[in-house]
Amino acid sequence: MKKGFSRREFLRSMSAAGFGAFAMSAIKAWGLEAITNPLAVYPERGWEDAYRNLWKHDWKFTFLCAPNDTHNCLLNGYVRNGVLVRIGPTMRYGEAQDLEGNRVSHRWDPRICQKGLALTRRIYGDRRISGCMVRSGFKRWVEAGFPRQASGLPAREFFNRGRDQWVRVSHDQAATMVASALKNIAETYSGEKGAALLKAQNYDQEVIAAMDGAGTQCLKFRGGMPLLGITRVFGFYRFANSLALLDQHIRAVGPEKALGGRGFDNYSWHTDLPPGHPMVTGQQTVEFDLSAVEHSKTILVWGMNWITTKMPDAHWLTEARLKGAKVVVIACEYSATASKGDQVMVVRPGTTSALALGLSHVILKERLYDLEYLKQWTDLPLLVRMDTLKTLKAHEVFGTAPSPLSNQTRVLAPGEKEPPPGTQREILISQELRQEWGDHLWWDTSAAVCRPLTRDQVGARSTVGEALLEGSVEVKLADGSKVRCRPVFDLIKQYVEHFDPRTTEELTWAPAREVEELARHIAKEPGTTLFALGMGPNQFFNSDNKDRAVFLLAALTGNVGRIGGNVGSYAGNYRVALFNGSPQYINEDPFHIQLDPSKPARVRQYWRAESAHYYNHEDHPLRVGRKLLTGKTHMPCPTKAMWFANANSILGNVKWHYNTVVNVLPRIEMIAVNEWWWTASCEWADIVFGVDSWAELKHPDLTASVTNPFLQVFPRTPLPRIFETLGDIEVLALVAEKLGQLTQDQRFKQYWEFVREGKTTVYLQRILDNSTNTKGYSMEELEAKAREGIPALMNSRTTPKAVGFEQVTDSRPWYTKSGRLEFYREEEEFIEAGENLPVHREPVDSTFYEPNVIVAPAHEAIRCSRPEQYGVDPGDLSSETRCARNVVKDWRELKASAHPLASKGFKFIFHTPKYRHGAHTTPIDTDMVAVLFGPFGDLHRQDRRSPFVTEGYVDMNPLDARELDIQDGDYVWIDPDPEDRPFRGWEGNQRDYEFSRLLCRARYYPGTPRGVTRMWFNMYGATPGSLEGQRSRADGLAKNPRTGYQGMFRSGSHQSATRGWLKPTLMTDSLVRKALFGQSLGKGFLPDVHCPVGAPREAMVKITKAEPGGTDGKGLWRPAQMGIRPGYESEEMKRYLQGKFVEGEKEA
Amino acid sequence: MRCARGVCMVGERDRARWLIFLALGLALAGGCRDRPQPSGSEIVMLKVEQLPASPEDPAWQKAPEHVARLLLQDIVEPRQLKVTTAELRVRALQDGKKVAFRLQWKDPTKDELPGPGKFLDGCALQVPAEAGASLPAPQMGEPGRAVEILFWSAGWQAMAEGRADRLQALYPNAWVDHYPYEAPALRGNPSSQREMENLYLPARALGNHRAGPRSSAVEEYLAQGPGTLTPRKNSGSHGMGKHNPEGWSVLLTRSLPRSRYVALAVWDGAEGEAGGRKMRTSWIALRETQPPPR
Amino acid sequence: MARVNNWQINREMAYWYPEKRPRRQFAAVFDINKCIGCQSCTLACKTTWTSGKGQEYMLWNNVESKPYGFYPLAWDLKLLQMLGPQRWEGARYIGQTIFEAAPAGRRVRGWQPQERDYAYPNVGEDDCAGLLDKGLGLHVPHTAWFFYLARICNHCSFPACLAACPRGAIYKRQEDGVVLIDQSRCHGYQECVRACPYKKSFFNPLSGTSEKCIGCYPKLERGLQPQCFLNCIGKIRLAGWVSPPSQADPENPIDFLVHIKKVAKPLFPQFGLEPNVYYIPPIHVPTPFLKQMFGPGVEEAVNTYKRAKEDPDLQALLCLLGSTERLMARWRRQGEWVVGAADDGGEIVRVPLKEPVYVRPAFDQRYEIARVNCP
Repeated sequence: MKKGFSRREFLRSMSAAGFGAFAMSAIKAWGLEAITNPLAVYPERGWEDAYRNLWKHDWKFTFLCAPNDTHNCLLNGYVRNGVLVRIGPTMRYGEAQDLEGNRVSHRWDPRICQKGLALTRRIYGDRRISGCMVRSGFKRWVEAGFPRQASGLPAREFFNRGRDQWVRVSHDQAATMVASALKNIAETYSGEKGAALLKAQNYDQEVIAAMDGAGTQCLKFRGGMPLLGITRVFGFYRFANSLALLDQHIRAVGPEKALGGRGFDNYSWHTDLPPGHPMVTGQQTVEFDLSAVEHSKTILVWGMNWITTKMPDAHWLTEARLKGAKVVVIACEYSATASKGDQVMVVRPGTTSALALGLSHVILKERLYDLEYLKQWTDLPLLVRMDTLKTLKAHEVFGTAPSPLSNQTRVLAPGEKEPPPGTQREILISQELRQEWGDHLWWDTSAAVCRPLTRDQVGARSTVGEALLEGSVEVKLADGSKVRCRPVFDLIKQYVEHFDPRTTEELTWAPAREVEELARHIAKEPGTTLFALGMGPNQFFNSDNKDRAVFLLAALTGNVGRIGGNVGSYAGNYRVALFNGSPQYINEDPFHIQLDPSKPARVRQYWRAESAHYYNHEDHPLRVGRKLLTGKTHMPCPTKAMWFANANSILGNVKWHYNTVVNVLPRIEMIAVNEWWWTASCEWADIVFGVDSWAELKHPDLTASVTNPFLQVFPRTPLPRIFETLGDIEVLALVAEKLGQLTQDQRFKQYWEFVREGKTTVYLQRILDNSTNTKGYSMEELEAKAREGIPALMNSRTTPKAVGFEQVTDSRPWYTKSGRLEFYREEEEFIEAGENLPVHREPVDSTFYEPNVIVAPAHEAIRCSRPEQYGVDPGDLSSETRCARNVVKDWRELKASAHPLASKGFKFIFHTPKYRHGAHTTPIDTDMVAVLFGPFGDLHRQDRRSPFVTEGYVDMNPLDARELDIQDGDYVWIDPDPEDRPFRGWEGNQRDYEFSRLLCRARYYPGTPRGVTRMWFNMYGATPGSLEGQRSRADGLAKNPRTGYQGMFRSGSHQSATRGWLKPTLMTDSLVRKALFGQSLGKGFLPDVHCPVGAPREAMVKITKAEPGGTDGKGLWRPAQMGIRPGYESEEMKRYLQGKFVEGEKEA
Repeated sequence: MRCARGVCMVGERDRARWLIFLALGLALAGGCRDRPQPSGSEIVMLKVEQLPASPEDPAWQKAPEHVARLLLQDIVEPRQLKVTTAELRVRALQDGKKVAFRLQWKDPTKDELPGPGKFLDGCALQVPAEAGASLPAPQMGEPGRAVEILFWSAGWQAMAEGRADRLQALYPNAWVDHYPYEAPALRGNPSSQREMENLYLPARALGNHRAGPRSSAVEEYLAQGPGTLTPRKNSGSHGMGKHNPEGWSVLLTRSLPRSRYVALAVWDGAEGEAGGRKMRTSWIALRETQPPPR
Repeated sequence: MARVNNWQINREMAYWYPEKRPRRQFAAVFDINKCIGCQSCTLACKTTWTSGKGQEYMLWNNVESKPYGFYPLAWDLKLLQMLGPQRWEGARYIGQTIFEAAPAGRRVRGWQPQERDYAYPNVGEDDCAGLLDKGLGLHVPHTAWFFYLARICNHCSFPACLAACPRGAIYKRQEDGVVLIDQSRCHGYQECVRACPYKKSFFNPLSGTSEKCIGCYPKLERGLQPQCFLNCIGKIRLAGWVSPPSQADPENPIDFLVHIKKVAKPLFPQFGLEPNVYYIPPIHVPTPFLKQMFGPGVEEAVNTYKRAKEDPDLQALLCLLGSTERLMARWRRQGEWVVGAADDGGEIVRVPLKEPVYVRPAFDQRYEIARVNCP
């Protein structure tokens, strides 16, 4: 008998079976059927049904995913056992049609992204809001009848925000509390008595005066980015309008005197507005649908991380490139999009205006500009008086009245009422403004006379001939006096001379040669270059200078207003005017409610708009020394109550967040939030209304986009509500109803009649019928299509949309005084600021040099008000003063200067761009998305210190980190200007400082130049609760034990270093701009068009090592230890990088 | 040394020494392990009234110990080419119907948590399915000549002892936002919830015995050659393992086999052993015997 | 060991089982120049197939930034090291494959990832080779560079996982060449995890078995492209069937790109598995790295892609990617349009090479309203 058995024996015994011997490993014992080769056969495959079964779904439905990313994707939801298990694209965008049957192609499919695919985590996850919650202290305050101190402020013991307990209540109870709080607060601050209390609370006189005695004016509302829900989100402004009824009840005033609440801005609040666009074009923004790149030859992707922020439309860029378009990427790092560039320039942050001027310099110097275009479309030939620095007007020379207008501009007779915005065809101006502006003049060199130029005379109608562009002339005025004038062209050319290629290289870091070549390339074929600017340059203080300079470059090369040659600004989705019939809904007159669904509403606006940047600035206007720099039309009111939806950005992710929660919130008496996901805003709120997710909407809604041609419906969905939630719009109706009960006024309830009847479509159809590009569509049909996953096309003038197309094609005037692209700003505020010319100003904080300096040599047209004139010490560089500190230096002087904190180690620019892993309403905080965010994702959380399965980190140039003894993956402290950040008064307030100071990982990132550090935006910051969770939970998660809020930082956030910045040129009462809706022109403040935008990318920081990056603080972070990280490469890794593992040899 | 000698003398039916051995054995139970002489060729199955329920039962002291030197599994790929666990100490008790084995071996690391690159400690006992003169190949038998295998895994032991069937049982700090089968729609409906859970774990849906969760630390198999290991219905066998700083002590109980030969195998998870990568014995004879009369 | 013929390395090589090609081989082309690293593919796969217990860490589809991105950590670096000198003689690989380099006692040369190697699945995201400093001006090829590498199971013609499985529980489907791990037979020995050079076989600690990409066979069986293809918004992916070079068919879109234009290349052909995902290499990356990763034909591929502006067929086919969920076994260009078709030539989808521009009248007489771009 054989007991032992060797390999040799085994093989011998098997050799009989020949090759089959090796297949022994696959003999099936239970059937003795030999699988000689699983490449060829496998006997029992019934098990495969297991995956077929997993693939199955019971039914599917369509819903619209619309975070503020401009894409708006109709998605299919797949349901199994009543659970939404999976999401996918509808693949039917290629069937979208307009009213005439024009169609786009399936190249628009698929539309979805990883955040949309992961929505199930957000709809079902532990932070999903499953009902209504009220802060226990607030509940007690309401139940106690709103007890107040002598100053009028509520007693402190009721306001332990961020640390308090939460109580679950019904929507009905919550609505009652909100209604009674709104009423009580409005009553408290109405009239003389109210004004006195506000004075006692140290509000600015101007701010108190702006109330006009109406307590309702200190109630602030915000439907975040209303375009993302034209009834659901915009409804908050309708609610604000209805508060005129409350004002009537409180002050016993009639409709003519009654005032509603205040509505915060959106596009400008998000620093998405490019504020120079209205300065040049007179309207909100110029942009083009992204598919337009198909029709251009060169695409300048400028401070825009296109492939990470415009993901479903990134293929247009890569496909245009494939087909031969040149892609030029200008960024302050080797960005994701840089990896798709044919040419890449890495520049210094916040110097875009200088770079555009540098490019213009080459074009002007070498006379490569499109002369015809600038004569037809720009103010460059217009004369400017050197005595007043105002443009020379026809009546000053000829004594004549402004000439009549006939080219698509209509002057309204005094008292004539404007037609509804949607129906307006011509540009409308009041008689008064027409008189004020008059006509301009240009100098005809052939006849040596100056000739008038009206706003009619643009494009083909332009009469500008042999115009004087360079040099100056003496012009004889009607009164006989003479005045020396220079054309705008000449003033600008002289200024731009400063930005020669070498200076441009030193200032912007863009290599001189590259600048010259690029300038010549753009000028070579006018009208074939698309300038796609992103959020990067937009988020610096000098944003308006950037726009004005870029437009100059674009205009010089004939690249404004053409399908294949245009300027675009890409940040946020904002143009509510795409539904310019919206006033039908938001401004329905609450005193004359239209209950007949077949009739249009009667419109009257009782609410007032306000820039949230004042709330962000502690409810103060900008005062520097003796000077008040906030215009009357911009003046804010105190913020006493806030109710918002779809908008974590107004509180949880607010710029200067920690100053807001520590120094601003204590003066606000009610904060109510509509949400479906527990955000940092909820952490700091008093009342949270749990609302439907997009997948559960029971009321349809509309949206559209500035980057694609689609008109989109949020269809009602068959998915039953998963938790105790209501639609946002139902919550509005409910609170209104409660106000009605409290005031015995039925109109509150009637105002939302069609919502309560489940006929929201009535409001939507009114909007469609009264909007320029949607009239002709039926809401029912649109929704039916949407349920099938098919959107419609906007009937805009063109598809793809291109702002400026009508101007260039129909010789239609721009929305400016002259009807032309205006590069010279003659208004007092601009002259004072030294920005009557498109200048470059250094960033207000993020610069290695003296901040906010106007970079200019001596120039006769730059005569700004200097600090002394405002009564401040020229040496005062404090953040606040800096905002209006007009100091002129040429590059040579500036180069020798330094940032005031440089000597104290604050030597890193800290900027916070958006990234692929998060969008406004879908941040980087669901497990599956988070774990793929950056280098520190780990679902198993081996390192207990990690606040979540990923965490915030700062990107540093490895050489910078080394100098500070910071290793890759280490934890670091990031400290901004200690004067006022993370919040004023942090010294001596350890309780708040401990969750406010930014602590995060550092990553060695070779893609950023030295001195420039980056932290991605859209992370959830630390709160007292997240810090408590991290300390008390066994697993160390930064999760609030009371609310489940999940922080992604151990302490602080990307907003620890930001602050509220106010720029004087964005607060004028004189800038001319088109109304938000329709074609009429006006002046001064306009939300989302002419108002402050802040500067969230401005911060110089100090970085210090906190803890080693190795697991639980021991040693090096493992990937660095392994030698596979930048700066830590092992010999093998170096070989790998050089491709040396393969020994290719020369083919003989 | 002496106790070790004692062991090898058991084979030599010397009554006096046997008593000494017992005494020493009791005194040094589980203690002295160094280099016993080969035990000859047999494992003695001592007859008892009742089989012990634990590897720590004092009853084991009565049973003689067989020390088996372990061989490499170097017959089929993937082969074990490095000696890890050198020897295995075996005792056996039987009650006429069932036989209980106690396997003991050195292994300071307790490998009971599964994971990528993490392997589990285990042991197995193999007998020819048929009694007969010629034995099947000791490495998993051969076509037409099946072997019965009883396999114990440290991972199964931990599950049997109640390790939770959730990620955090393996990674205490892990966080997961959501599993589809945890959605409110399924709450209060455990069966469809379970069905839904298994959808995402096909191995479980298909009843793969490896897919846990389970209450038994052992599994019975048939095999007719390498790669043919196939589970079979449990015929009343069970197992229990205890770990101490020195190593494992595992009880394996099964019905008395028809054949009187047994082969054994040990896996050391820390050494990355699994499947064919193991230390094993060749066939060892089993002999029934009565306890020595007092 | 048997001898098989691997056309990607232009020679015979040793393999555990004799050569047997399926009736049809699932294959894919990924255009790296269009990949935006958005991870939609990753999430599409994860939410469909691996949302269960023990699968949390598992990414059947992942996207990593090369050169510093690895999932699992250092996966390809380690294998390149183990494999020793890898020499090509023209298009013929004369170094060792992982089968030929198998150590004693094993069927394949590979390494066993530890659980911590799966941490940081997107490490190196957007990290570039080459330190940046101010004043950079780059032109193709970039001196500082990275690119996105989207990876799924390659459903190889000579799978290492299949060769290494001691239970023969891994097999290749004859009807489509998809490689599967039989979840009812797998015992979780992790031999396949160790053997797969691409590390696309994963051990599930809670199911005790190894799991891998299934090529979405429930979809393939219905004539649909897999989830990671459908959800690819970079529109870089094309699923279909690849023929052996000798039977290349220009009307088969995969063959056209792989065999006719030779613009798409396999990942690490020197490993010897004949992987069936073919990559259009990134044109901005220096050649040596690309050669190491995609083999010697890579220069030609890059040049062909750079010249696409003069090649309407190549343009057309690459614009067709991602325009339909259905499998396109055939394609044809018709002037300014390109058509994706089914096996029988029946049209599935038709798209233009350039999206149309529509200009509407400034005033819409029918609805009596202006149509403007600046409302």
